[in-house]
Amino acid sequence: MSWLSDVRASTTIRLLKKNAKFWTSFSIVVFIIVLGVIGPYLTPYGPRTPTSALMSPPSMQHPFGTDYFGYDVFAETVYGIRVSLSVGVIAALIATIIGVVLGMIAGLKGGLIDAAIDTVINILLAIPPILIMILIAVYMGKRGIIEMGLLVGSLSWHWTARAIRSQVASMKVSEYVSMSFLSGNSFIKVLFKDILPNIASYSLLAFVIQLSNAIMTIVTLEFLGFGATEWSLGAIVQLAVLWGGITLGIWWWFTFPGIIIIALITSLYILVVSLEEVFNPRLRRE
Amino acid sequence: MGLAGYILRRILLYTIVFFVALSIAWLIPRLLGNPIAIIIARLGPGQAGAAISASYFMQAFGLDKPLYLQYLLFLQGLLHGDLGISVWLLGKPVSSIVFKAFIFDLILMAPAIIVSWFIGNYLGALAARYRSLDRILLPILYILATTPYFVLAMFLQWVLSVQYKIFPTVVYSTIFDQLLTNPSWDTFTAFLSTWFLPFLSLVLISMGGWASGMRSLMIYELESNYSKFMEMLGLSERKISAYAFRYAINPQITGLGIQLGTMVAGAIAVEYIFNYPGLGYFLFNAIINNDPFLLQGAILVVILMVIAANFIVDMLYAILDPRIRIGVVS
Repeated sequence: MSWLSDVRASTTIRLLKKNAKFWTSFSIVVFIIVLGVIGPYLTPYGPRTPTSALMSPPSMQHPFGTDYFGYDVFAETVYGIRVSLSVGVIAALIATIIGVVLGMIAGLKGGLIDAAIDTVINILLAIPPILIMILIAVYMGKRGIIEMGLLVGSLSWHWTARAIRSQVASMKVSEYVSMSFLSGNSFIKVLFKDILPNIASYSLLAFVIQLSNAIMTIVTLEFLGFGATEWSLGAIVQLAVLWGGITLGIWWWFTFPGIIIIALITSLYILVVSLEEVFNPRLRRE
Repeated sequence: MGLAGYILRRILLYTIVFFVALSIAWLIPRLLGNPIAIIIARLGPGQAGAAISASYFMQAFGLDKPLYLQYLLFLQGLLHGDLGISVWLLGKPVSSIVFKAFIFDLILMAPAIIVSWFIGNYLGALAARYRSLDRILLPILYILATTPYFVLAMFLQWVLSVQYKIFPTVVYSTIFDQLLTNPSWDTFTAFLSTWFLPFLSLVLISMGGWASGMRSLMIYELESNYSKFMEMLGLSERKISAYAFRYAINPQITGLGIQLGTMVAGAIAVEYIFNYPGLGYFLFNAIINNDPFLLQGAILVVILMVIAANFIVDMLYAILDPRIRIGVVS
């Protein structure tokens, strides 16, 4: 049936090519990633290199201006993108993996395991995880990129688990899974051969959803003072607020990192929406 | 099962959630090494009073007692409304700070969530129905829905109170006390002018979320077979939309509790930016001033508030959704 999947793949690509939402959001995400990767080579300053210019507005020498302490805001921002994005990717990876594994097990096994996982999901839905994260972050000895990624990822998997669980639960009662069990296949074999291929594409989508949410959570935590470094995107904005950057009118201090935060999270979200439209004909309006 | 069974199971779940929340708040500081050592270290180097404060914290946390006793003492203190004293506010009892902050949070968030829910769902339904409106509205809704609360709050403050001095930038904390003790028209208007910007930030962001959610739910219903069937029967577009709306609104009711959770978390930063003395304001200050009791007290009350709201929403949903009422789905 390879011709059928070829037709499907080409339909998907044709729809993707037409989708303006997809291209706009995809380009913005790529642009911000590239800025984070090559940005540090475009500026002679580091995020904590002292300069003689204090609070100077954007100029040729300092494209995003300098802050109250004389640090170059462009340098802070591009290094900040690296930090926030790295934490986000680690968190999203962890959350997606835990979510997919637990969701598959809960959906396919049912019974006591399902009830236990479902209870944990409901607890995480009822207590906002970010509050637990704050409580843990206060007492964490070290708050590096990996630690913060672990913290956010290990408390955000419930969204993915819930979605995967309901999908797998409906597959479980379908004929092909029953047949697979009846023909003597083990639980693990059914999981990998019959279930996993069917949720693989959704899992990829779940990763992008998780990335968008993780970055939202992380910049909020950074703003509250739990950044992996002093110059992550949320932390720059926090310093601007704490040192009166808004009331003193040093707009470049918080505007540039602020716009990048919005652009990054919004584009990732619109990317998800456009992919959903391509894969789910009922959401398409033609 | 029916309604009674559903309510019973929900009560059981929320009792578990309640105790998990309490236990987490108690356990985390003790789990991650010695909290006192961390607090002392954060207070800064060269502290002459380090030994004295260490022994003070040791007693106050009750860390010299066996673990089970610590937990019981914690629960006992909680039952008496004893949450310790604030280090940052020089020995003021945490419970009285937190109680006042809770009232200010209610004044801020209850209207915010109600207003954003109604406007958001209405806008979302309109966007789903009118394509020309959708084209303008959709990008704005997406941006609002995904902007972190604090980023919008910051831009609003900069534009509306620094650039165009419509709202005050400096807020005197006395007006909040006066509002509670001897309210007058002047204190009320002064309060309103400081209340409005945090309110607006919360409303705009969560409105974006409701509207973009409602929009896709409505499109999903409008493209469904029953809508097509009604169209073939010759029902007016208005009528079809009304039916679709009744289906689409259900997930938005269950979403209320979860949305409140994200709003509460977002409000921490918003309240700090606008100096609004809700729970979030004290939480933020507790973090930057290393005040462990205030932090725990504030977080605990915020968590309990969200759990209570979730429970109320669940009950409301059970009563509103006929499918749960007669026990078709659970």
